Amino acid sequence: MNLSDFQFTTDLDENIARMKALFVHDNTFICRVVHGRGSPALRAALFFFDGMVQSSTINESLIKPISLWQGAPMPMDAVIDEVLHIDDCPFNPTPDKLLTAFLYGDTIVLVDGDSRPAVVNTKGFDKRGPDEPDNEKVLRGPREGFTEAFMGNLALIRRRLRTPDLCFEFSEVGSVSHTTVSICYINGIADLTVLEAVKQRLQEINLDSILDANYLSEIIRDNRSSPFPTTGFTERPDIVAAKLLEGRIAIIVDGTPVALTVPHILQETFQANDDYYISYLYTNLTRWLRVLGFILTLTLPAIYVALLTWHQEMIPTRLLFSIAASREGVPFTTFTEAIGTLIVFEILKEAGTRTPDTIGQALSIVGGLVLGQAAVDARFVSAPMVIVIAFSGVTALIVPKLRTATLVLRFFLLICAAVLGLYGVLLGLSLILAHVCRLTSFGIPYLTNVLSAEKHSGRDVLFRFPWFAMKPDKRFLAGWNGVHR
Amino acid sequence: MKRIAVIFLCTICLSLCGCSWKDAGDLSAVTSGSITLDSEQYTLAAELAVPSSADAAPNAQLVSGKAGSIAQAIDNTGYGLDAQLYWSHARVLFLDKSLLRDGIQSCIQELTHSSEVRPAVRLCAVRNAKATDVLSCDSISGEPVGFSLGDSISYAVQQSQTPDMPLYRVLDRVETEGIDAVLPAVSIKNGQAVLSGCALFSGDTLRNWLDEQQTSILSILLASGDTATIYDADTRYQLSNIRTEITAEGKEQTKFTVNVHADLACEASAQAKPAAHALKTQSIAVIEALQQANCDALGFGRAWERADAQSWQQSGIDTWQSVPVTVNITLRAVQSAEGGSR
Repeated sequence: MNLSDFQFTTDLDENIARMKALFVHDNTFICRVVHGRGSPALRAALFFFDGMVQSSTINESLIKPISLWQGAPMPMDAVIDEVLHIDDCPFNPTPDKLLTAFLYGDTIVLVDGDSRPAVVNTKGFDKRGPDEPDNEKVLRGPREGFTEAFMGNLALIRRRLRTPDLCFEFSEVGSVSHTTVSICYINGIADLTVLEAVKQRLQEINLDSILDANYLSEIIRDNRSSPFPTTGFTERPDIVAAKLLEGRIAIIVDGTPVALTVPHILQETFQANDDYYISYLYTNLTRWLRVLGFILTLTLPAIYVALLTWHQEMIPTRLLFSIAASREGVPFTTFTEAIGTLIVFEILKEAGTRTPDTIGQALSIVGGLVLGQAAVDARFVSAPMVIVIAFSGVTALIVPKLRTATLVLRFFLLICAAVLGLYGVLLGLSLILAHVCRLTSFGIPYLTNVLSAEKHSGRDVLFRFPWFAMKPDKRFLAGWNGVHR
Repeated sequence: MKRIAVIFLCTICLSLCGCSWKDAGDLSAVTSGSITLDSEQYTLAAELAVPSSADAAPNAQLVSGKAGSIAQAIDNTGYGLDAQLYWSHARVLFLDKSLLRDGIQSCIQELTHSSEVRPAVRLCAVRNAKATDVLSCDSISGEPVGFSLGDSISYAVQQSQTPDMPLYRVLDRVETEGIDAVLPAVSIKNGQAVLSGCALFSGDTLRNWLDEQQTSILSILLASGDTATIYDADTRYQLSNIRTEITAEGKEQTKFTVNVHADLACEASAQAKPAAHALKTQSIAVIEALQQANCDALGFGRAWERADAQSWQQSGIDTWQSVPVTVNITLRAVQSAEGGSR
């Protein structure tokens, strides 16, 4: 459909015929003709989609005033002023904007004798409530989460930041989907360089549709092939509010309950949602556990394979006997066994994720316990390998934001360990460190604050200082000199 | 160019891996071994731990090899086995009396040069039987006998019941002047291998044996353990935190001083004096036994060399036997419920 060619005429019947022809295959399309009580009567046509609009608004604000109007026919601008009971009503927009708004739940109003349409905000499609996101549960703190409703999501942010400096800049992305995207930031706190970069990258997007925030993330992020995330994802408005206060920029995509935050740096991956809502002592302990868990999940299978294939002298003798006894009858090498067990674990995890909750629990028991025990009994794998892989898999869950990095790098280190032993593990870790050192997120180094010499920059990295010891104007991004304050 | 450099570097890294990929399942862990010398042929017996999924402890398997050199004997020992012998977990090597009498130096050197045997493996002399027989004895713990004897020696070293003599230390003592080797000794009693004093060497040749009590005192003087127990008639004294210092003094008339400092666990501080007296008496007796065997296990010669190298060289390395030795014992009484018992 070429929208720029679409034009209304002054003949209402012809306009109705054109619209019906345009949506002939869409049974949700509704055309309602309303007549006034005057003589001659005002005649108007309303076009809208069933299910996308709020019926009460159309009845009360459009149909009722027109049908009760006793005056003579008048042009559209006069109808808006004198007849309709509406607040938001763009008059005679461009064909592109007209159809985009119409397809998104607005109602087109046309009167006989005037080719200029009015677009009335009547959006009223079903949406779920702002429930707590399943993926980002907290022990204590706000329980609201974003939904698929765009304006509702913006309202959730606005409610938390009652400042005129909070900005929402809209743009449209996707040549077919015309998805609305909002760039949110706090004027005076957000880094202008990053803001310009975000706008620039959004403008350069050349996709037909944006159905989720990840579409944007994969296109606008730095270092697209890196397993480390350089854009943040959250479903919680309180997290977005906190990030905006730290000088970051949020991108809200219509139709998805996930907000993107940029720049995204390494320290954020070890922060949990409720780190700031519970005691800083507890937070510090759990944050260290997360770091330890990440290191363990990456290196444990690799170190196990390295020790068993290259450095058996480093294993205590009794432990070596125990491992050797458990490996008796296993037909695979330690490396093959590790790779195989990891793949099976990932398959089970993926199956558990895609399975409905009720079946998922049973699947976990069958997969984790029964299958594991049967595999050990059948001598497919040894019991220590199951322990190592299971522990590695469980510790990976402690850092969900690094899930991709964990998955990819675990295999990478495993291969390094098999080829070069512990030297390989160290070499692999060095390469990972070098890679992380050269990562950036919208121009900001990924290790900002981790390696910064700034006095206050490290107060929310490995340790979360109590609020009374934090300098709100210097926290988080303060280690990077390019941030405008 | 950058990609080529990365590929080149990765290829170079592969060369680091060499050829030593050995999966744990492809190895037969050696827990202990014995060396016998017969007509200039070394016979090496190795006790292998064969993992058993049915039993908690591994089963023992004995293999042996014979050759004119230790390295060749090690190679021959593993010949015909499915799995490669893995010596890094060997805890103890038993040396036969035949080897001890003919001199252990060449054997120790060959063991040190071998890439298979760890320098930390402990050496042990076999007293009243063939070294191979030790590995055929009954095991009380259910584990391979050599393996459990390795445990016993570790425990005895901690308790100052036997000197700690790993391969590298024996090599040092055999190859340098001013100090001699001693080796823990094992004998077979009632079909079981038990620790039985120690063997005294002069140079690299066996000279004499010490009994268990003398060995315990020697271990205290060597400060090889964390704790020690000494006996005086029916009284037992518990020592800990043992430090020993041997000095040589005097230009014209050299004399040695052995200073022993330790904490004595006791119920009353008055116990320190008889304990010190007992330790002193027994230490002097052990030092006299060492002098008689011409075994400078305590390193008097080294102490003399440190104090006056010229005088030591002129006097001759065996003169240490005739130098008077003073033993000073300082015991600090530590109140303890586990103190001396009668």
